[in-house]
Amino acid sequence: MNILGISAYYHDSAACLVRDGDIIAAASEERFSRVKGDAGLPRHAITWCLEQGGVRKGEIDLVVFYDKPLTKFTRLLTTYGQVAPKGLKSFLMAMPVWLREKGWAPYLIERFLVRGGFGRPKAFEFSEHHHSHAASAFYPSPFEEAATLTIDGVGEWATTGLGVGEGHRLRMIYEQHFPHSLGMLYSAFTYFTGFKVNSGEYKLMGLAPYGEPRYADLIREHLIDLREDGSFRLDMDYFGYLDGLVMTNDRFAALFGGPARPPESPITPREMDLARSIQEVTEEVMLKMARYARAVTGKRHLVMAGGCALNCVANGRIRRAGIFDDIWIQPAAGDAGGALGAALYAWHHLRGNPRAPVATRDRMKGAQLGPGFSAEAIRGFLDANGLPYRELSDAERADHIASRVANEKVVGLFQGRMEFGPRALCNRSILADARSSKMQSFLNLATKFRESFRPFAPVVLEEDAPLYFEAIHDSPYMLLVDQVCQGRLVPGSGKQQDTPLVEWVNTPRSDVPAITHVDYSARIQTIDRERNPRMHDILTAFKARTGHGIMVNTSFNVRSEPIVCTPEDAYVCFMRTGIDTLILENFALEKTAQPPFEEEGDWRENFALD
Amino acid sequence: MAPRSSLKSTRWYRAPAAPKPPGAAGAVARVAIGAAVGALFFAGGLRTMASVVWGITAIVGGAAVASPAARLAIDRLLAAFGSLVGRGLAMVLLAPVHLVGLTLVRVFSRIGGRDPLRLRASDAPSFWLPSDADARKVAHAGAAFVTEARGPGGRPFVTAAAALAGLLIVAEIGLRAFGFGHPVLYVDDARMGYMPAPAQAVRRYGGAVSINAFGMRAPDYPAEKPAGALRVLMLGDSTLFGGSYVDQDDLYARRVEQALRRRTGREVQVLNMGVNGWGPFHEAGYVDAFGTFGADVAVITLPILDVQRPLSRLSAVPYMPAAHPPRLALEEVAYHLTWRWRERVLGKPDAAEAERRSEQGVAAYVALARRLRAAGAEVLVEVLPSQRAGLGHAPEWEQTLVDRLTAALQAEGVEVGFPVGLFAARGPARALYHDNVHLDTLGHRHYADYLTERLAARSPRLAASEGASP
Repeated sequence: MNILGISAYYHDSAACLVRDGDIIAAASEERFSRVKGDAGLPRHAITWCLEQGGVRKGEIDLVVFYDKPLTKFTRLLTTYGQVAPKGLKSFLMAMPVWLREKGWAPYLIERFLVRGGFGRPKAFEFSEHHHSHAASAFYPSPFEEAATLTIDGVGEWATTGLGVGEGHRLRMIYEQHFPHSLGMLYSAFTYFTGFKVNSGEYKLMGLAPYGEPRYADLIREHLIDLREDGSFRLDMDYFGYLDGLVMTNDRFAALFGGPARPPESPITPREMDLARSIQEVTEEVMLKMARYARAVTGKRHLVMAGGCALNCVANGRIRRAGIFDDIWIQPAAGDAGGALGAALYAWHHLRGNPRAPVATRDRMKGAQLGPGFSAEAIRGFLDANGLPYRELSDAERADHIASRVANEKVVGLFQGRMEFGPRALCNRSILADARSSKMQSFLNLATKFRESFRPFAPVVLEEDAPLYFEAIHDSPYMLLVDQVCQGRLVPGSGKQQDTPLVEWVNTPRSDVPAITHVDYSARIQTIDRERNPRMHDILTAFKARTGHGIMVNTSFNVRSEPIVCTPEDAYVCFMRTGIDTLILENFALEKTAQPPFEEEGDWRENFALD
Repeated sequence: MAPRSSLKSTRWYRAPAAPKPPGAAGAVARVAIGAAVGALFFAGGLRTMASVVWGITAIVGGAAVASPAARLAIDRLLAAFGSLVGRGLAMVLLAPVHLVGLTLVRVFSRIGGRDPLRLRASDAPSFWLPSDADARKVAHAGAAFVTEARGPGGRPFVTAAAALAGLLIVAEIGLRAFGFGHPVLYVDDARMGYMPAPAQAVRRYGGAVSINAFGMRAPDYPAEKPAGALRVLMLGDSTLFGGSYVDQDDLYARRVEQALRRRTGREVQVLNMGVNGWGPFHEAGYVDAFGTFGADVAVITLPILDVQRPLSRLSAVPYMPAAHPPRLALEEVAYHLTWRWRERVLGKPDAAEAERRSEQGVAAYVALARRLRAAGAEVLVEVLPSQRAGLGHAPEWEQTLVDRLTAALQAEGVEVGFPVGLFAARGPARALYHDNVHLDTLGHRHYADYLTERLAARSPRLAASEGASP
């Protein structure tokens, strides 16, 4: 049975093909359209998924949409009906889009499939938003039973879902409803600190270690009424997202001593403290929710999804707290993962089909679900454009890459199938030497062209993870933050609020300074041979050369650009940035040998700042 | 759009089908539509507009048919224009929905104690809400809308009451816009049954109704006839009164007045004493009470069924008393509806009663004619034909009653007019008649012409004098 799962029309559209419970393909639309967070109908992703699965006309058995659009619409109307006559501008902006497009989602999808030659699907169903998230977390996980915790901005009404998965069944037990949303709260601070909502949240998380939790009590006292079971109520008098076009209002600004930071303006200690404060409160809420989930469900394992599950710092605290024996987080925890969850929900829960045995540590296939490209296709592209390259054998490839990184070169790595989710997991990654003290600033300024405060994440051999990190030794999807081992730290290199930010950032804090954040934390990706043997070989070769089985892994893109999808995307990014070496499968290209790369216009203007 | 680079682009995967560029067939269709629109303007007499439309069609349509590039540019321009118009229309249509509709929702929500967003502070130990039953979610997997069981809370009766009150307020405002709540008021009288209260001015359905000091729908003429003036006293019922849907100046009584002034070259005053629901007994009572105002000519007008009207008091008719005017428009509507229901319950008189009334009514019209003649007025009786009769063919019952009245009055030397077919080919029926007996504005105009001729022919005093226009 071919099931096509689709998420669309909110943010991060995606498509996923599941066949008899097996995930065949999944991809976000932004990777094809090159529009960050593309929210439109995922035409490219749908077409690619069906092509990848060899689905011909009339063979789509079921399309499942990841939420109930009309319920979402009634939530919108109910909201406006509680604030009117305020909210007119917001209403006038939202309604035409709903009346013209979003409310007709199933018809638009069907029309696209028919016109695209795939024929009308035999059935069309709708999963609820948080069911999609919960299903995306539970069904690919390695657990037969687990508590599910889904936390995001909002779906139809639910902003938080607490449920339980048992075998192939998944059911929700408790919910929290809009507008009382942890995701919205975090996004409000994202906006207030001058970052872009729905894409800048992880920047806020990265800024937090630079600050002090000076405002945490203010947040607890005025903004959020938190209960011991993790449920909460927000005081909407401080927020603008019910009746306005921005997340916060004047009362919010007055509470925190001034207006929101304008985007791209200098970051002040206030923003750092706000980031730290909201991070602390968010972790507190999520910890309480996790404890309550354990108490209510009695399950030993926890699975998580929803946008807030991308808060790796909070995830790390939940894992270290030992509330559960283990936790598993969907790599595509945002709305894109809803496409996957919707399809799995329909197959397992709605149709009662059992889950397949775990093959490689989990059922997510290392999140390597997107397009891959053959050597012939890549060679053809390189030859057609006269680009000089060297074809490496399988035996020499890993050491070649390791030697480049060891020589403080920046390597763009393009291999295998593209990852599904916002993290690059070494199939579409930029690798660099974690031992280098100048690598963080070099990567930020000359390669990624992004804010200098942002940390880089390590990729480490799973067997070496205990050498570098205190507690978390299994983190294949880069969704957990832990502390760098005490023994590796540089004494006195901690808090330096009185130091200029650039100087503080560039102070070595450990013997792997490029991946050690200012609070000695790191967002870890562990590599095991089962899920990514080629990257395991690279790290092993690097370890042989340097004694360290750890590198910097950052996503293969520049700021505001979606992660590269095709070899051509990779080459263009390579030529625009400070990457020294590009590896396209077994083809190695050196920057110094490349012909001049000409473009019409300035590519920086192509990507809206996030 | 990504900046173009020096690379030769490779097709890495099957892309979705791009939208087809607009074809020539669409452009031809637009030319045809433009031509048709121009033709419509031309047929409607708007020739300049038609020329403009044809001109634009020729230029734009011709370019689109001839050149694919022009076609694309025109399509983009139309799309941009459509988008702009759409945005404007959306604002115009949606703003009232939000400002009025959703604001009312908020008001009723507050009154009903509902708080669907849980905005109010709470001391509840937990804010978790139980999720809906899984069986329901599974049952509705095929629906784009979740049908969840309603939870407790709210004040439904208060909400319903508030909604009803809101509806009544809206109805009251709407009815007042049409003139309800301020009707013509009446006074009860033992001799004439009832009459309009003196000195009123109201508007109903946009039309003006003014009542003078003597209860007439006429200008404020003095009781005594001015020297040199001619007076025509018209007595009748609602067909003479005209209904509030006919403006005061469009009534046939008023038109006759204007026509006779032109014809005679003299001051002619037509006293319109038509009153809703009157019959011969009411009219005789009025003449007994007020006299004939020195009328030179008295015209008794009636649809023939008035012969069956007894003397009714105000309590038996659906008109509101001046002593208790309505405080609300809704009160007036309720009053009328109550009366209509009562009328339905009471039913029409049986044949024997109808015959008895006809006999008495004919006798009353004869007595009235004598009374008017005794007061010095020439008397004419005009039976207003029903719609069928007016348009060409009088029903047998109508003709029989008219014949009976005519015979009785002719015995007194009074002529009776009954212009069957007067309105044939004079216009559409719905413009001539408001209902089966009451004339509409066009009907009043034609009837006025008829009456003017009748009066001029039958009354020497109203014949055109030398120098006056006919």
